[in-house]
Amino acid sequence: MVLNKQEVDAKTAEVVQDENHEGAPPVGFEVIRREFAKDKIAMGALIILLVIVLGVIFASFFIDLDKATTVNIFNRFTPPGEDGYWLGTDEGGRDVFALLIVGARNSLFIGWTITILTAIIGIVTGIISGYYGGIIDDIMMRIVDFIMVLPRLMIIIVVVTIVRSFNAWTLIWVLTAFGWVSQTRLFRTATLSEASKDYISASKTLGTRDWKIMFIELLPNLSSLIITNLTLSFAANIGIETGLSFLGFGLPVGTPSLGTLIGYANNPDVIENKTWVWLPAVILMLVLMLCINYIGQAMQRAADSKQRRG
Amino acid sequence: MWKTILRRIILMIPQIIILSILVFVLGSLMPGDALTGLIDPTISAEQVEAMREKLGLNKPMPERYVDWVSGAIRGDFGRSFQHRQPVLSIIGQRIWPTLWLSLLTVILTYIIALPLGLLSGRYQNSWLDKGVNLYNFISFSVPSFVLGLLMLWLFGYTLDWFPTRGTVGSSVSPGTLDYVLSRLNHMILPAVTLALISTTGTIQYLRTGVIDAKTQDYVRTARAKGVPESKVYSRHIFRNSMLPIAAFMGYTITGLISGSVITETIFTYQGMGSLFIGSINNRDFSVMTALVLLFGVMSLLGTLLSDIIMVFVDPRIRIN
Repeated sequence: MVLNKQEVDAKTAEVVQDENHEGAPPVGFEVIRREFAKDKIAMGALIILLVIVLGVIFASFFIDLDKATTVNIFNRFTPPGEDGYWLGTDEGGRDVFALLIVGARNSLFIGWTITILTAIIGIVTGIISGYYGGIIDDIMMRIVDFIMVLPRLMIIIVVVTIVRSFNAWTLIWVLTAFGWVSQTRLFRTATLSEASKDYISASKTLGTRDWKIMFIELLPNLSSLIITNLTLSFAANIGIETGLSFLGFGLPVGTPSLGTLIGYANNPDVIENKTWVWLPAVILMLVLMLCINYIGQAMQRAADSKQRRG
Repeated sequence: MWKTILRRIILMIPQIIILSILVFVLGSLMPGDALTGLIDPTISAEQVEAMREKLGLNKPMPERYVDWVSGAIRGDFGRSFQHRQPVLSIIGQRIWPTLWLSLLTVILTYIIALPLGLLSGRYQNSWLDKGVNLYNFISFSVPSFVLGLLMLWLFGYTLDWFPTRGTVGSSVSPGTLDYVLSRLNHMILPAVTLALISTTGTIQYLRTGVIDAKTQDYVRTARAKGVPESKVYSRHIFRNSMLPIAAFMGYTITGLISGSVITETIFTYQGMGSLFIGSINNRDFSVMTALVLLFGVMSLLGTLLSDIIMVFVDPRIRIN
């Protein structure tokens, strides 16, 4: 390819401008750290989230799960503060505080596991789809588009009803089966723009194997997107799991979730007169959701040099 | 352009076929069949067997699928054993409350989202913009069932402003104005809940659209010609920023469908979403499969609608 002088000049100008603009920019975690140092609310959200997560994990070691889930009809709906129950008891006489801790732990664990699984599947399929393009991309996108429009919530509920030996892992796999598609789409788009860059073409010219280009050379450049996306989809997955448990189609009986506790409010008497059963779970849920999403958005800003504050 | 649309429609046919196979397989994996609910001590096992044979339930699966699909195309989804009437007539009763609720939700969504999106884009970085961003952040973060529950608790039970359950008051008779008002009164809380959580996308798109449009040449031309600032926004920018929103509308249908299942359950609103949960709980599988198929087809049509609007709105897609 022969470029005339004007074009060459334009290209050099572009490169120079790019260099001036970037000027040895901070990379990866450093960018995020600087954003959080600048953004006090994001820092606060991060601290609150860490306190909740560590507190829940720590406290759950001291809770006897059998005792917490055993029905004791004589303690039915004990108001908070009585008989040594900090937050009172539910309709089965179970300690709401213990259920809250165990429920939060389960919801956080399930949400995080689904997030990791969907991210792994999404990153691999997304990069393959975006890197190879052509027929592989076409087929993959047909599948993704189809799963995306399915009435996901309804089909999950049906599957949950069909599977007999139902436990937390079944729920995790069912939710993963529907969750990976949005990740694939995201990472495919990112790969498409990344794969057209010079360092990829250079590597191809040198004869580097495809898998090496994809997962050793290209993948690290998606790291800020991956971190941001892990946070935001963590919040979304907690929302889906608790929503299903709230409707009664999430975690099985005996495995409490934040959604199970909130679900008690489906009973008119409980929602009106026995607020202590469900309101703590709602508040914890709101705090978790707002914190995680705020952290996610702060990371998103950090990843985008135009919006960066730090 | 018509070629693009036609191609898009043809693409939908295999999707509908796969969806119907999926729904059928899910339905046949369910314990029990259409006759389980009819079995009672007065009917002998032989009679049940004869009925199974007559209804074709003993045929191999591919044949049953063909039977089921050809029935479904004619609107015959079998009978509901819980309600003891054809599935289609139950759905016919329950579809209207959901449609009215969805309509009110869409109207409320745009009433909230359009001014907020336009104003926050116009006065970028003002306190108003910051407020809208905060609202957007909260409505994006809070899960719909938590919001619905808090609304029900606060405005339904604690403040007693709105009814807490059902679709209509018990003392009013159909056809009167009171009946209509009672219906509306029952719809407000669920509709506001659904609307609040579905404004995020529209506000975001509109805000970015307006901010982008501000620096465009056609806006500068309008200003240079001496068009008043308010008119620049209401005529020139508004129209152009509305285009992606219009295209977004089809996807809204998909969102409303999944929203209706949760919201109708919280407010015990007698629509299709609560019918679905009810049919699952009562193992009423003929109703359940019909609803999953119906909602699936509606989602597919929603995305089709969005894509078609996009073809009209965005010339770049047409050329490809």
